Amino acid sequence: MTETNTHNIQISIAELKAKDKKAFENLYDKYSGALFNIILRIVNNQVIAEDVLQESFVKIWKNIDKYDDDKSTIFTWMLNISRNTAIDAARKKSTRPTIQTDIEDVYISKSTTIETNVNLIGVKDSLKYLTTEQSLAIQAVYFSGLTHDDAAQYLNIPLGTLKTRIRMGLGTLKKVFAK
Amino acid sequence: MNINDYILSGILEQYVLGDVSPQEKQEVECMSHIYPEIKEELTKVEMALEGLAMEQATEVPKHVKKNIFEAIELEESNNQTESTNPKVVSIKNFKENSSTNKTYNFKKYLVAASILFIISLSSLYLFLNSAFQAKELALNTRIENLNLDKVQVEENYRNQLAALSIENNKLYVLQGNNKAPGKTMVVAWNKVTGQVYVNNIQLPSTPSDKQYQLWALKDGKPIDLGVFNVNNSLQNMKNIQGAQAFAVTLEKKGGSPAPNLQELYAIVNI
Repeated sequence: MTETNTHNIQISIAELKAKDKKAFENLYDKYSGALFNIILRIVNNQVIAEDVLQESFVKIWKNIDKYDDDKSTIFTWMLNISRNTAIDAARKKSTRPTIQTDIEDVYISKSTTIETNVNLIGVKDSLKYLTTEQSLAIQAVYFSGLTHDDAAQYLNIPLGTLKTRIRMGLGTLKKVFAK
Repeated sequence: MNINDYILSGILEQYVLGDVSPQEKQEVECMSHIYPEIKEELTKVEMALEGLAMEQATEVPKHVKKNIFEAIELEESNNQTESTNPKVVSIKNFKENSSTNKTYNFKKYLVAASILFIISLSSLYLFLNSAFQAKELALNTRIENLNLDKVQVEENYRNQLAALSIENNKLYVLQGNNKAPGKTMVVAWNKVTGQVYVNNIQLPSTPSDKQYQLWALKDGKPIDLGVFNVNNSLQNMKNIQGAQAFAVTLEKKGGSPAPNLQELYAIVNI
């Protein structure tokens, strides 16, 4: 399964709500990799991450009738279920959700070499459009399961600054993805 | 209403990341339901983060998918067994405890006590009788007045009850947001007549130069329903037809022509 074909999988909410297994399989094929990445970063352990992904998808299946497509996209809804499950698992493991320390080394400058650096450590395209600060802020709250308060404390910046960096960063990403 | 300020506050990003209180969650859902601009911005934030996540996807080992679909099959078959086997509920039997009451011979004491009681009662009667007669007239007059008041009060209650009767009205409990955590107030709205009442206001008391103002949101526009005070009484607001949400903001005394979103205290979707 490659990234390009997962992007193009069409998800039918109506079929999902009718508990159609094929539709659920599509949902899994499209989003499991994205969710797995986030879960992995929160729990920091391959085996636990697999368990969390399984638990999350079972929850998604069981609760699909509660999903309201007026309120959020299916991905946001699944993301919140997965994040919460991952954060619970990380707590049980009694290790605080941690930010991978190597991210600090990753986004050093906007120099021409960054693409190579980024590719080397497996971080892909869009983050290179962000400043180091924006990238760190987004990763702290998005990929590490930290609350905004905790992330601000972790990065040692005021909450307002954190929020601004997230907003600015997402502003850039919005343009990147609003193709 | 400054939608832009709301968008700039960063609340939408927090919402998408799941880092909001239940009140804030309801607020965002309500606002995005009412304002297309907010909904659009919210979707953009969601798409940006989804795009980012898709890009960073990590391959999941094949066995995980197999396990998940097996777990789902199991879940399904369990559900079916559960629905065909109704649960057996055991009923506890309670035995009555039979207790033997000991009997005592109270007679002597009873006679003595009765005599004392009668004597004291008679003297009390004689003593108070004259005082009572003097007061009787005054009391009668008061009773007449009270009856008049009672008719008035009953009339008021009937009106209030009619205004709040279940057939015509819906009650909405507004939960305070982070400006008034845990605080509530009730809005009663008669969809037929458009009458609006607020009741049981538990919001924090206001400075003397400020008042809470109730708004209805209709077709994306805020409509002033008047100001109200922090108390327990039923307060009649301006009528509204076709409201889609009710919101409360803190405004200068007497109210403002347009709500100040920075001072939003509570909002409820209809």
